[in-house]
Amino acid sequence: MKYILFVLVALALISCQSKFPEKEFVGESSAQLLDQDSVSVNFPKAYRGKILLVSFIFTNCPDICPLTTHNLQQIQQKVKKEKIQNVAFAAISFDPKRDTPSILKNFAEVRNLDLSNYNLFSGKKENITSLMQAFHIVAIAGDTTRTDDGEPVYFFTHTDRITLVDQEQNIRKSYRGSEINLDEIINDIKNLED
Amino acid sequence: MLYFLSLLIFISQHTTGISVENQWIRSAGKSMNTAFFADVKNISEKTDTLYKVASPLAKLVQVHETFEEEGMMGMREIKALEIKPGETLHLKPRSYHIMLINLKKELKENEVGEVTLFFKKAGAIKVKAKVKNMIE
Repeated sequence: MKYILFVLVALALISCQSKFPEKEFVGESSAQLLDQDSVSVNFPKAYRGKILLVSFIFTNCPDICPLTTHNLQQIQQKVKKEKIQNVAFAAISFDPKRDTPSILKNFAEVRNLDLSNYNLFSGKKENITSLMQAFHIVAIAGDTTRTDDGEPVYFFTHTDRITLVDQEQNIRKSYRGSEINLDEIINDIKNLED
Repeated sequence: MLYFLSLLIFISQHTTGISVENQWIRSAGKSMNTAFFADVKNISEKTDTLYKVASPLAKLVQVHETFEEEGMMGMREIKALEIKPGETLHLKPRSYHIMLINLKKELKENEVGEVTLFFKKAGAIKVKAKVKNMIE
């Protein structure tokens, strides 16, 4: 009997691990950020107990980041439709100099984002850099040019990712941000919910 | 009648040698960057080249491509794009697109913007496009 119980527990553990091969604690990298309403948030500590989907973006990005933002929006809508509780969404700007809270607010308004459980973050460069390291995000500024009236224009080459963080603040899985399999992510959220 | 005519503008914009269809612009705030997307078909019997783009919507307009390198996504300017006879250039997300840099005004969903594509053979083609949050 003891042997059967041992095998069942081992199988359950293996099954759980195969669903989520990653487990990396990010709670200790928590840093102060400012949300779109200029409210200071200790990120990700403030989300402890919630399932969190995190992306890193810059609002001047014309292609990849709007897709990632839209994909988080789609996940948010599906989560709401399926009545899954305790899920939150975060987009952190790696261009905080330009992406002030008011710019982030406007970015959200133009895209009709539902900010009830979806926040956009700016903050001190060093805090964002430390979070980027914890989440394995790279963003390199380049391709600088100027408009006719001399304004500098620059873009980033950057990691394209949405990260799933569990209730205990562990990274559990990473997905491409600009192209998602919605069902896969919803299933993963449900598995973490159990 | 007016509704029918304006509908026609959005369905397809043809001119000698080049047809532009399914055009749209992604919504964005003032001073931000965004992109124009469309299917550009060469319906002539000769190769044509898209070599310049312009728009009153933005301070700077360029042809760009999105690229993936070592797991990272980036963009770079493309000086010219050839379209062979019968082929379609798909300006689409995660690929080639027209970059509208530093918008002069906010572009909200359902507004209409104008972009001009310059071809070596077909000349200048003005295209009106609807602003959308995202194509489904």
